[in-house]
Amino acid sequence: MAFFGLPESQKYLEGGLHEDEDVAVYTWGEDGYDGLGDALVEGNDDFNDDTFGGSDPIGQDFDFQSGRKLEALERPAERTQTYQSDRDHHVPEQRLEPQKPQEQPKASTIESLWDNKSPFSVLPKFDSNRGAERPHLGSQGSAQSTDHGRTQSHPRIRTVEEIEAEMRAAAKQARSGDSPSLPRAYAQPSDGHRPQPTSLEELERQMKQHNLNQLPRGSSPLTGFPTHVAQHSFAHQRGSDGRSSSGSISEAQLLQLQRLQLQQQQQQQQEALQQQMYRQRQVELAEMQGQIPLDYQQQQQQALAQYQQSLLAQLKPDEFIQASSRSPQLSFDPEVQEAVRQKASRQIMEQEQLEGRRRRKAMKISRMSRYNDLMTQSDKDFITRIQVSQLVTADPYAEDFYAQVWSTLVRNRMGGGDTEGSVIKFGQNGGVGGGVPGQRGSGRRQNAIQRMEAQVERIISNARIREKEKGLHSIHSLQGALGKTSGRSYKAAPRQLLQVDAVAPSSPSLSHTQAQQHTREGSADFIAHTAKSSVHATTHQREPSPVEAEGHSDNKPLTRKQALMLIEGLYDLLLKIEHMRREQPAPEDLAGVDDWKNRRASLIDEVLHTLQTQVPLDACVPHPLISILAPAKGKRVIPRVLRHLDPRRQLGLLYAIVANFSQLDVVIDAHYLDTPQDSPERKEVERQTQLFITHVFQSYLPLLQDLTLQPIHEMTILLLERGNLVLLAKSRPGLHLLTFILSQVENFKQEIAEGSQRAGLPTSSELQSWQTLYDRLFHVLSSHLVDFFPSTRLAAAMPFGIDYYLDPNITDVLDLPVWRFLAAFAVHASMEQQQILVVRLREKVLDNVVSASKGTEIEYRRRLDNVDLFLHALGLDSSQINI
Amino acid sequence: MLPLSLLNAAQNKPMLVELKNGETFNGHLVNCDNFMNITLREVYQTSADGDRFWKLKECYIRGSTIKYLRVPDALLDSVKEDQNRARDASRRGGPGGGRGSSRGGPSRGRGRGRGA
Repeated sequence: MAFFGLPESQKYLEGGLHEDEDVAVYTWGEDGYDGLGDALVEGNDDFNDDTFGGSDPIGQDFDFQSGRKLEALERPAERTQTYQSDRDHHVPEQRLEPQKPQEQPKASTIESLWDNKSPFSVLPKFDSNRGAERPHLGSQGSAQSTDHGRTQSHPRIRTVEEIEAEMRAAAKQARSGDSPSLPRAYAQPSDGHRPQPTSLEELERQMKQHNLNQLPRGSSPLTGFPTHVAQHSFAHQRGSDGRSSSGSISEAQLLQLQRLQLQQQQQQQQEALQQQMYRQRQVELAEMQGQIPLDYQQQQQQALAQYQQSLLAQLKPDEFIQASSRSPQLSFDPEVQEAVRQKASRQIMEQEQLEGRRRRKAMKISRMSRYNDLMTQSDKDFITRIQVSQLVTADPYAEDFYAQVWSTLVRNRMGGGDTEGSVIKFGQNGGVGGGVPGQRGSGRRQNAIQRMEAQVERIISNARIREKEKGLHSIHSLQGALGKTSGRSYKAAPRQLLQVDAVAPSSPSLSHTQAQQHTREGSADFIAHTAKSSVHATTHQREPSPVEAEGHSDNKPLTRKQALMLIEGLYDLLLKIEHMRREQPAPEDLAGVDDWKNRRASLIDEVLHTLQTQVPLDACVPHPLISILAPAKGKRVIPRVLRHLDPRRQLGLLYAIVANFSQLDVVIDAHYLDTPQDSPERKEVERQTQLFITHVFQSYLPLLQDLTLQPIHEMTILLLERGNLVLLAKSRPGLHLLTFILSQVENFKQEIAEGSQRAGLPTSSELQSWQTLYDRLFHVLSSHLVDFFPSTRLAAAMPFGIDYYLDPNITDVLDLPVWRFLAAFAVHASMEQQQILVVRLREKVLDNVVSASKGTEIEYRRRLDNVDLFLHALGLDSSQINI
Repeated sequence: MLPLSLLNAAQNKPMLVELKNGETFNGHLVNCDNFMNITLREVYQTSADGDRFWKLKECYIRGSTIKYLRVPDALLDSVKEDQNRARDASRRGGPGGGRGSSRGGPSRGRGRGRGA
């Protein structure tokens, strides 16, 4: 009031109304103030310091405003300062300190704080284009910040640049996922260390707490999610512990996810974790600045997005990477959220299914393998050792002949490389306990087997030495025994091994009293025992003496058993001979070669003896040789024998066979083939016939082709005189033989006609004598020509009238050899003979020709060919026949 | 555990025996020997075709004709258990025995020293 200073007013103030004045004059707020304000007593001032926080020293942490020209802040800064200090008091950790007024930079407006020029622009903004804009912001912000910084005083520049550098580094590192740098970035302003470590530690403590709290709740993330979100939002709404607990809860969410999913990609989880923490810090920073009125809804969505992203990270890490790099905007579209959630749930279900299947499979496997390992590896090795000792042989080619040969054949068929003549050894397949589940086990097994083999070989060699020493004591050792004989020494308790009748040595069966002794001996002893016996057996197999042949009486035909025994003897001899071939000494060693030759010759003689070739031809019916040829094995042994015989001996053998040809089983039983219905005998005969042709005839072919007329002549004579030609001709082998003879002579004749002067060609006198022979043949055979046809015989065998149903395919094939024979036959025929042939066969021929036209093309052709064979020999042709 | 010892452990247990000719014998094992010859009691014999059956009070089967034997699972369980127990016992006894013997050595030495 303007009147205050007036002296006369004092009167009025102190007194009341004075005489000078009209109005009461009041003087407030000046020296004459009545002191009423001082007289005012106010209470509730005790917490002023607390509320307004004026006593603490002001630190430089996060002093983002120092060195900034933020003039507008000055005046409202006073107010905001108090506001900030309010917020500071809310939060126990003080990461940001309120700025000292003098250090506050002066901004023109509040809004300018948040445009691109301010330092705050470096902070990542919570908008959809975060990922894209970050680098720009960073660079822009850095440019601006340096500008700003340079305008400030030097200490401010330094600190600001420092901080910006830290922030940029932090931003870059957060993007690249380098987690340790983040807390470092925050901790760098060195003054205020205190808040940073405590915050991290606090966080970790709270994480652990929440771990423990939420461990019992092992629920799926989705069911736990709404509660988490509720917690999250609730925590935000609470002022005091908003940040920490929400941060910790989100961490706990992540941990739960970790626990629920399988532990893959831990790094990525940590990445997500760190990213979340970083984002959380940003959020809190922004909060602390108080510049952004934060949208809690936005925060919730962010949390949701983070949660989903981490979930996806667990399930599909690569997709997550792509997704996060591609479109960070997925979080805010509710439909996309829904789709993502569904996808996540589907994947979880798949995972659970897979887990269930795996669990069931594990159950099944455990059920099946419940009783595994009842036998330990040592048990298995024990058994393996015993078996190996039985199998390991000193001479695999002698004892294991067929396996060796077969393996060589297989190897030749396949690889063809490797070591050609290598002997297969036991243990190459891993021995007992089979397969190869990893090299470790099988390697050990192979070692064991190798050791065993070495041991057994040692034993065998010892046994052989001992055997040689014993050598001549072969009386008590069993000769010709089948299988292993006992190797026990009889010094202690000699026992009679064999009860043999003195009369008939023809019982080949031996009782192995020693067989029962094998079992309860110690294993080494056992191995030695069996090794010795095997050696024993080997040496004995080398000298087979067919005892039966010695005692064999000439007049009785060989029984089947005897024949079989002889065949076995033959095989042994053959094996020995073939083995000798391998042992052939070098040609330089003359003595050795001689010796070898002698041994071989003696063996071959023995073979022939076993074949009973020495026995006179008429000794018995059937001749022993024929009896030997009766079993299939006998037929099969002929080719092998022939290989070792020289041609002269081969021929001799052939003569022997031919001489008694009609005694052959295939000839005698040929009539079985004439019955159309199947029977076991028929099958057997068929089989034997086949065998005979393939083995005997085929193996003789090379010899036969080189024969001159002389041996053929001889053979024909033999046949004529000794053989039942008609019977013979009704059998296939016989037909073959006859055909062969005739065709050979035919060849000779042709060659002579062509004028060749080969050495072996017959002379004309020979041919003359042959012709007389032929006449005799003709005489014998001609009357039965029709019967030679299997078809005819078949037809005859069938009930009347059914021959129509004979399968022409079969009969045609069967008839073919006959037609061939007839052709060969006819070649040598003279005119009259040919006439007779025609007369005899005319019906047959006509029959064929007529029926041929009725059949199919193939049948037709075949029949005509058959007939033509014969007719051409006569100089005729089927076409000449008019129906 | 070797097969024959398993068989010995199966005395008085029911089992199924199949022979090489296909016949099956179901009965309780009375006794066995090292050739795997076995005697059974209360035996039901089935022919190879499975169409004819006999009941025998007791029977003797030659070991060499046996194709295989089937044994109840309970026996396998007990055998496995015995094996484990034996293994544990031997394992505990073995290291314990080893330690004892090694302890004997140094004390002996000391005694001798003192004596000397």
